[in-house]
Amino acid sequence: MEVGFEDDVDHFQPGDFLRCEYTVNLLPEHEIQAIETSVIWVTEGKGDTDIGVHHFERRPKQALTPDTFKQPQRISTVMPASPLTYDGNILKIRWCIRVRLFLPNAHQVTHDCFFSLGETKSFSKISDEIQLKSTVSSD
Amino acid sequence: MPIQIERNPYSTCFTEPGKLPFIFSTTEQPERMLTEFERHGFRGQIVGPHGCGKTTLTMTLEPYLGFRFTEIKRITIRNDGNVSGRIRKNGGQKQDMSTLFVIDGIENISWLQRKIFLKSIKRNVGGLLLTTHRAIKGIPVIHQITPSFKIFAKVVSLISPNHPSDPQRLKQVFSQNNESIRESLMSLYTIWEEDRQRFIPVRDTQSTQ
Repeated sequence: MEVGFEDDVDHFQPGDFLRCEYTVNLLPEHEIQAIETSVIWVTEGKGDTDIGVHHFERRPKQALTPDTFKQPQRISTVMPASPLTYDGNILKIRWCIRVRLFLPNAHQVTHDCFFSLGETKSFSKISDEIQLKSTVSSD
Repeated sequence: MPIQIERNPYSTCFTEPGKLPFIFSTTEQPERMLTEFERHGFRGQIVGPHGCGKTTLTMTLEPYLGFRFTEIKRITIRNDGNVSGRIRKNGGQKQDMSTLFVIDGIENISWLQRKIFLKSIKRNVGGLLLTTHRAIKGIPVIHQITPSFKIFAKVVSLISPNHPSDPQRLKQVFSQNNESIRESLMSLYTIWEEDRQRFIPVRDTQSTQ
């Protein structure tokens, strides 16, 4: 399974149109029970993992055609205003495109493709900037 | 500039129960635990201090128990007494006799609640496996976990083979956290972030050169 962004752009701003494609070429089509694609954000850090679903699409077996496995499939959505990608000490927010294949006997194959949304600054960077400004103004 | 997130290997999503295998010491064998469990009619408890890997052990044993039980139901009782997980109810009928109930944190409820809870479960199920900090009367202890630095070091090497680079620091973390593997991993999370912060200015300098 391969997931790729259009023009290899993996950084977006709120309101941007996210376009990506995925291809499934590992398994014969009859073994796949369903394909789920989603655009989600997840938290990572010291606490429990939170997850937010921005875009979700499920294609059951009946909706899967031979073309599904021959041609790249497109995922597109408009990115929301928040939460922005964040790299904090206690908490990190990551955005990803998740493609999940449902196989017989409750087996699953999941592929995550990460990207970033917006621009936020870390606390240390902000404090560095403040310090720099105060130094410049005192000079 | 897009943000490049550096993943902290000690984040909960990598270290929570089920994400890492239980590390058996040389004297422990899963087969022996399972034999003991079977000998007591599939009733038993795993005893060990906070954060030593009791839940991870039950998860590691699950594939073995899957051969005996068609269903394994996991119930977690948290510190505040909240219960998560599910018990299947068959319209007032008896529970499936080939169901194994795995109950985490049974000590988090009062003895009376525990008595009622266990009675209602014991009556109807095929197997019962508890994890607890202190042994509960009436349930055979099938295994007692004693955390050791050797095991902790092995867990850390699975998570992050090169961090922390100083083994002495690892020993210090383990003893500072009263030999709790979970708490020690939490501390290592913070240490990893601190180390990362120290390296950021260096990296920024390099990138601008």
